[in-house]
Amino acid sequence: MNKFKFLRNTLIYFLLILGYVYLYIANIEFILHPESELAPKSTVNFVYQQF
Amino acid sequence: MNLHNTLPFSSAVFFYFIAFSIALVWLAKILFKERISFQYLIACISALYLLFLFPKPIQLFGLFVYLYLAVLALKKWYRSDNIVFPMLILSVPIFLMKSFILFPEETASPGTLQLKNIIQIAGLSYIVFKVIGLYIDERRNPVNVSFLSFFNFTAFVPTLLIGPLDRYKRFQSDLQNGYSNINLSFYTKAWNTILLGLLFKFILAEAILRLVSNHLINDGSFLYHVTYMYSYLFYLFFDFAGYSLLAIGFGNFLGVDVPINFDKPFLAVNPKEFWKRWHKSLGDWLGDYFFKPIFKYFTTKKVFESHQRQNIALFLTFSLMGFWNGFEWHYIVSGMLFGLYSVIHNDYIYRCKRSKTDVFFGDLDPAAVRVLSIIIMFNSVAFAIYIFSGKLF
Repeated sequence: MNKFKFLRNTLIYFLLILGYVYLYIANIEFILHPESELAPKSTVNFVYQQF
Repeated sequence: MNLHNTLPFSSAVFFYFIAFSIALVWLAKILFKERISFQYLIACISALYLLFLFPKPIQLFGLFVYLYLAVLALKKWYRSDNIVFPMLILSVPIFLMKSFILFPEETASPGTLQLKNIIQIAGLSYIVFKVIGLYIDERRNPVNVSFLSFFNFTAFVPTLLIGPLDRYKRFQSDLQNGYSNINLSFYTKAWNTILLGLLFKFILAEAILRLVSNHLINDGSFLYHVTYMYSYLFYLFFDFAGYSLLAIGFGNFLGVDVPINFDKPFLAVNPKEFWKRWHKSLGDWLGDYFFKPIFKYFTTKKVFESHQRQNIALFLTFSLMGFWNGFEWHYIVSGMLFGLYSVIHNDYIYRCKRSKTDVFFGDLDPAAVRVLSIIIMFNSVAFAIYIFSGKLF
């Protein structure tokens, strides 16, 4: 694996783990906006699928 | 748990099913030494998904049968060069669906609503578009399309719902290659694509939605609309590109090299390049099966000048895309706006060629022209997508 691919993959894994922890475990949305109700985690919402 | 409501990528059940399918293909290669036909195996996976997980499987099978018989009948009895009639015949399910959308639920009779519910099938338009492509390609280069290969092409699970729109010939060559794509390097590529898809769809799109879009306060100010416009643009991009990457990755795991759908669209310098980078498979489809036939028709009839023909064909193509997204004004106007961008760009190219100089940027440094073009294109797209979102009207 070349250097670029290694760095790219490391960044992707890092962001995935970080994002998962902040969004789905720590629920950063609730920490940043405590006044708001806990929004339901969005299901896959296909914006482009009209029917 | 209602299993019969599992749309692709919509729940954990779907991901379990995909994992099971990948294991099945891998076992067929390793344990059964490829004695099971690859085409039959992929067909079995699709049939299992449709029978046990997909909502309204009977309607979907009905749709496949209608489209297959329509293709056979058109092949046998329709000899004219005009492709409008076959396109209309193959699009009948879409027109039916759209006609029911025109009846608001509060004014429709119970019978109408029941019929609408029966006809409404997830992924309908993508399936019909794939079949129209198959039919037109088949007219150009006749091949024998069996129901098995037709079913495999239209019902391939990862791309069933919203693409990417594949081409029959390309897809079929992958299936005929059999198990040769089931190897470590293809799996590595698939895994990397899925990781990026997960990052886009479940982290970046989700973060924009939950940390920005959900908390914008609509005070009617200009700042609100601008913030909404850019956040929606990035949300839409990460959501749709993420989904497409997941479809490509899972398709790769099943041995099919699904075409890419997004390729750094915000680096596009003009509308033509943008549609080669954003929802590429739809852009290519519209170009091949709608723009080119209209342009050819105008050329044959010798109406308008060449660049005017191009302009009209471009505008009609993007207007169709707007109508395809839905019969609401925001979809139609957004499609027309993309058409207008393309017409302006086409006219700009025409004037540059005629005067042999850049009529807009003049003698500006090419690097600066590129940067400015990217900025103009990015903001134009952001505005068109903002209209598409329905926030304005």
